[in-house]
Amino acid sequence: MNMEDADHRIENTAAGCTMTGVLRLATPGAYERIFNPIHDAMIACKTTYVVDIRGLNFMNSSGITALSRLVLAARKLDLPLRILGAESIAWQRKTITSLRRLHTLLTVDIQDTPAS
Amino acid sequence: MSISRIHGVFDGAAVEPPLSKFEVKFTPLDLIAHWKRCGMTADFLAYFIAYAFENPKAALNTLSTVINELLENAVKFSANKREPVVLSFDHFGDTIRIETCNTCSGAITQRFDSFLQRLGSEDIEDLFIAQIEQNAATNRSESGLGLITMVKDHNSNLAVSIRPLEVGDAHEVRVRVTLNANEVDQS
Repeated sequence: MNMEDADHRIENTAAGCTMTGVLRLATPGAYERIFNPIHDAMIACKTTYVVDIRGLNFMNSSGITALSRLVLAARKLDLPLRILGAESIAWQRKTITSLRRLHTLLTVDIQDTPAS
Repeated sequence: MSISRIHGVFDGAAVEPPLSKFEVKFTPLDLIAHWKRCGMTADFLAYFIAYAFENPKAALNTLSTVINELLENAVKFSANKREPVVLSFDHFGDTIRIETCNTCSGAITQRFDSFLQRLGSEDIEDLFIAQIEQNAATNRSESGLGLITMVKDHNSNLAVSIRPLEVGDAHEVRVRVTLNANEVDQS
């Protein structure tokens, strides 16, 4: 049965990306392939880049590592970054807010309403 | 590195039998070949446990996150991918205990030992940030972030026992996370 990749979706635009579903890939390296377009978009971005994870129910620690690498990349680019999270999703409320210390231009916005 | 050691506090044998319990054995190779089985297992077991909670949806997210991290680590770092790893759960009413047991090579055990010493002595928020910065510079798969978040974000008691096996350089590693049931219900 092939159900690989059926559990997450990443939509990219010039000013941001939206991740939904479940991201539990095996290693931080496995995330590189799907996060490379995000990194490229950040390099080209002239305003604040927005990462919307309100619809992402689960992300494992390899994913947290990969997400934090995006934050470090934004820091290197001196790019303002905004992460949108959901109050109702425990791991987002608890873990993602700690990333603020990595980048002075990072805003972590944990909202009450989940992504539609 | 050939002596047994314990990091954290093992809460020992319970006086009363658990209200609920299960134990599952996995062949790591099965989960490595189809990585999503880790998440499937974590979700299923979290549903099983959370079903009895007042706020099952909230509890589910925390329980699945914790079970998945422990299971992924046990599978990823097991020394022999054909030798079963054991995942167990015990619910004692006020506390929930989730534990994995697997074997680790001497080299991985040594790095794990050093990491656990830091986890037990350094400020947890500082360690979280330091590990992210360090991981960005290296490319190791053993980030340690999963165990840091167990302690930092889920207010768990983390205890690890490391015991050398009689033959070879591998060690038996038992990782136990004890959660407050009320906090999980309100997470």
